[in-house]
Amino acid sequence: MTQNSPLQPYQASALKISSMVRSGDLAVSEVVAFYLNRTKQIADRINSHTYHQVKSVEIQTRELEKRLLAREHLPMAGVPILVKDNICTRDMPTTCASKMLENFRPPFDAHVVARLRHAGAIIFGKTNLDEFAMGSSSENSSFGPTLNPWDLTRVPGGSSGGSAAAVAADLAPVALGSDTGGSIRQPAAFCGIYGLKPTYGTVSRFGLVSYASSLDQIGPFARDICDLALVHDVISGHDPRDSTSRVLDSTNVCEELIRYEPNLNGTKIGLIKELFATGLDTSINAAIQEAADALRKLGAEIREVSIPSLKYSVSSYYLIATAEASANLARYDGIRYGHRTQEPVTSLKDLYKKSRQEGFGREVKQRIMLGTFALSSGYYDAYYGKATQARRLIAHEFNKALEEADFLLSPVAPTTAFRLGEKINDPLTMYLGDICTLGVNLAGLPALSVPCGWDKSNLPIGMQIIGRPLSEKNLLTTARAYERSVGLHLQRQPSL
Amino acid sequence: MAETTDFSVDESTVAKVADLANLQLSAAELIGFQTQLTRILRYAVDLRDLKAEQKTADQTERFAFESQELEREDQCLASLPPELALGNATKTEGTAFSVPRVID
Repeated sequence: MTQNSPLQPYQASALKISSMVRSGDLAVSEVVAFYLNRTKQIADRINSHTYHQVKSVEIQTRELEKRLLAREHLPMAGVPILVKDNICTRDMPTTCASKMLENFRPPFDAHVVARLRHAGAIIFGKTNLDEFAMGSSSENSSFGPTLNPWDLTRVPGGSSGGSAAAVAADLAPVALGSDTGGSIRQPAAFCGIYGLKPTYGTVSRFGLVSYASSLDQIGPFARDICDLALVHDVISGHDPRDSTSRVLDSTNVCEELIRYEPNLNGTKIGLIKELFATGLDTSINAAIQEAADALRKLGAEIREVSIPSLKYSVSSYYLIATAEASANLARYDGIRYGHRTQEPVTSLKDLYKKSRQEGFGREVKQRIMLGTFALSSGYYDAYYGKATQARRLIAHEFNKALEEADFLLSPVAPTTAFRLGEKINDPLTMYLGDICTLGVNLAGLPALSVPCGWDKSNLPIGMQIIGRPLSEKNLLTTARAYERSVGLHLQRQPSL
Repeated sequence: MAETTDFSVDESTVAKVADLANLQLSAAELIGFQTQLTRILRYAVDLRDLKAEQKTADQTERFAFESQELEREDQCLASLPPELALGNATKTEGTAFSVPRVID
């Protein structure tokens, strides 16, 4: 290992690793050995992984070494990345943390996985999640719950809790998650790292197992903004296999951020009044007001904005998302896809019902039930119809607020990480905890979760910065200004 | 199903929805889901406040969540080779999936 090797816990960044591997100052095998060792020491303690195999990593390492010798363009050369287990990987299982897909091995890579491999990243394993991405705590998993590295008695958030916990514990510098109602931003906040939910349509959903197709979006986790930008640069862009994928110019935001000098002069940032109402933890309120002060010192103008229809966001989201889920998950019937019952059956319908009863967990069944109800004759107009009406109203008010301000600022969640088991038997309370993040998905906007402090129990606090459609570059720049000014991400690490 | 008036669900409605969703629920699950669905739907009662004229002022307004490019030229692409497509089948016959014989 070279004298300047970044391979110390919490010291290595994806950018540094990639740069040193390309220049020959660091061998891919050294990177792999370091992260394999950390995975061996820590992954089981926090139950962050659903799949990890040394052999698979070694095969990828040998292939990458050949590509390095051939001097291919590899912006993520040798960077280990973890992938949420609802994103398809051709050489690893994709289970969605469900008995329904426990034996599923996709015959193809998701678009984002293919892009990462092409860029020289090493797919280091698959991470735990709430079954089919349905949950906010990563407790609804057939692999058991993931634990928060900052406090092993608490949840890491969800549904991408495995990815967030693993990056927070430095089992990889970066990871992928998916965000349907906050599933990247909330676990990022609970685990003290960065998470980006991109604009709907900027990252292909090809190969992402669908939960709610009009809301789902893949995005990255990282411990600093430049690494977040590095992954986003690689995975974003048009893919004809996803009909909602946008045609975009390729970006190199990461390079721009490295050279960027913090300056927010003239930037208008709006605090969303409704998300600072009662129920917000006082320490979170204080941390975000402090962050707003820091942004003001960098030149930003802070003002208050109002999005009154956010009061409909929980109802609207949970009716639309579950309605889409009930249709998307109909394919798991034991014939077309998924677990097939071994019990005797009397009809095709009986086979479907028994297979689905055995294959799905409680929360997934509940959401399928809610969505089927919302779409059924006699209830459609009162529920699904009203929910879509509320969605357009919420999106309209976000657009108006983003005419008044360049960015919006809010908490990511009303509380810090809660205790394991605290909400699992009370779905409505769990759903209400998503109040700060759902509106962004309903409106299709980009948003970032940024670490901005700790509460009295030393648990991380996150703030949410929301931008206009396709404003990822400006969003990352603003967060970079805050990061360079305050630098919270370097101050503490979980003590595992 | 009949139009609801009180944003709650009874046991027979839960059973009917379970059948529509192809889920064979246990008796305990039926009761549990009835309780949870009723709580969630009662919370969603606030949607009643949305008036028809509140559909947003401008129906032509485009939002980021709406698809932007719906039309493209048809294009022939390679499909999965049969051996890969059959990779997850529990049982196969030649290049076909083999499933249990079920006569309704």
